[in-house]
Amino acid sequence: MTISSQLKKTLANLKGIESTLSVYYLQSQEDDERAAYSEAMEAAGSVINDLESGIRKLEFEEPQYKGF
Amino acid sequence: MGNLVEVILRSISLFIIILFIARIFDVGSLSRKSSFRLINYSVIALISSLISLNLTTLAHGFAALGVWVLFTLSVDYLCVKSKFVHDLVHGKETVLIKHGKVMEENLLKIRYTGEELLRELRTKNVFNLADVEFAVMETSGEVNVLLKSDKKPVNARDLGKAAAPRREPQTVILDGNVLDEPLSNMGLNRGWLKTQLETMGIALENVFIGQVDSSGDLYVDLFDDIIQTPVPKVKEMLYANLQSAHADFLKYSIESDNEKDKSLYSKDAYILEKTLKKLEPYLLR
Repeated sequence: MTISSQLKKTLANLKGIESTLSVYYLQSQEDDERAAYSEAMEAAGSVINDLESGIRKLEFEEPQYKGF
Repeated sequence: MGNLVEVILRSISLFIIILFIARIFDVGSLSRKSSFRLINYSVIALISSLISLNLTTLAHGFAALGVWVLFTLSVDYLCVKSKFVHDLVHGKETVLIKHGKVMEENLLKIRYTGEELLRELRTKNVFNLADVEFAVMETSGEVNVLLKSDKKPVNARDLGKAAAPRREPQTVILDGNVLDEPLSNMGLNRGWLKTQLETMGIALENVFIGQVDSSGDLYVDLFDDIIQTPVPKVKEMLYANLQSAHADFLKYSIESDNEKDKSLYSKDAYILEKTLKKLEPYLLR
C-alpha cells in the first residue's frame, strides 16, 4: 500500500473514532465520563488536523495521489 | 343454602380486604422476621379465616381483625419513633464473633450451639472460622459476616486501578413492549431505540427483555433463544481502533524523512497514547 493510502486509512479510522466518542459523550450521564470523552474528542480532532495537513502536503508534492 | 351463600360472600369480601391489609403490611415488613410479627400475622390470618367460614359474627370478627391490624401497625410506627420501644419489641443485635474470637457467653444468651453458628457461617459462604473478623446476629435471626481484610474478594481499589462509576441499568423493553419512562430516565427516546434495533437487525416484536446500561449500550434478549445476539463490543472496538491509530502514527514517525514530520507524528502518537490511558477505565471496565 502506498504511503498516501495508508495515511487516508488512518484518517478514516480516526474520524470513526471521533464520531463514536461523540456518541458516547452524548449518551453518558456521568460528569467525569463526559469530561473524559470530550477531552478524547479534542485530542482526536487535533490529531486529525495534523494528519490532514500531512496528507495535503503529500498531495501537493505528488499530485497523482490526490483524492480517494 | 342461605348459609352457603353467606360463606361464599364472606370469603370473597375477606379475600379483597386481606389483599389491601397485606399491601399495607407488605412494604418492608415481610423481610423483618421476628417472632412477634410472625404471631401477629398468624393471628390476623386466623381471624380472617374464622370470619370467612362464618364461625364468628361479623361484628366480633371485624372488631378483632381491626384491633390486631391497627395495633400491629402502631407498634411498627412506635418502633420507628422511639428507640426504647424498638429495643423492647425487637431486642438488640448480638455480636457472635469479635476480632476473630467467638463470644461464647453471647452464644449462650441467644441459645445457639457452635454447630448452628458454623451452619449460619456456611450460608454466608464462609467455611473457615479463621476467615471471620466480625459476625453479628441481627434481630431478625440472620447472621451477617465481615471477613478479614486479606480474605475479602479483591476490588478495583485494591489493585490501584480506577474503575468508571457505573449507574444502574434501565430496562427499556419488556415482553416486546417499550417502556418510555426508563428510556427518558436515560435521556433517550423511542427513535434512538428504533435506530439501535435496526443496526442490530432485530425487530421489536422479537425482543423479550431489553436493557440499557449506564453508558448507553443496548443489550437484548430475544424470544427465539436459538439466535445468538452479539454482545455489544463497541467500546472494546473503539479502544482497539485507538490502539491501531497510535501504532500507525508510531510507524509514520519512524518512516518519515524529515525532522518536522517525524516530530509531528510522534507528537500525535503521544497524544493518542495519553487518550488511551485516560479512556481505559471507561472503555474496558
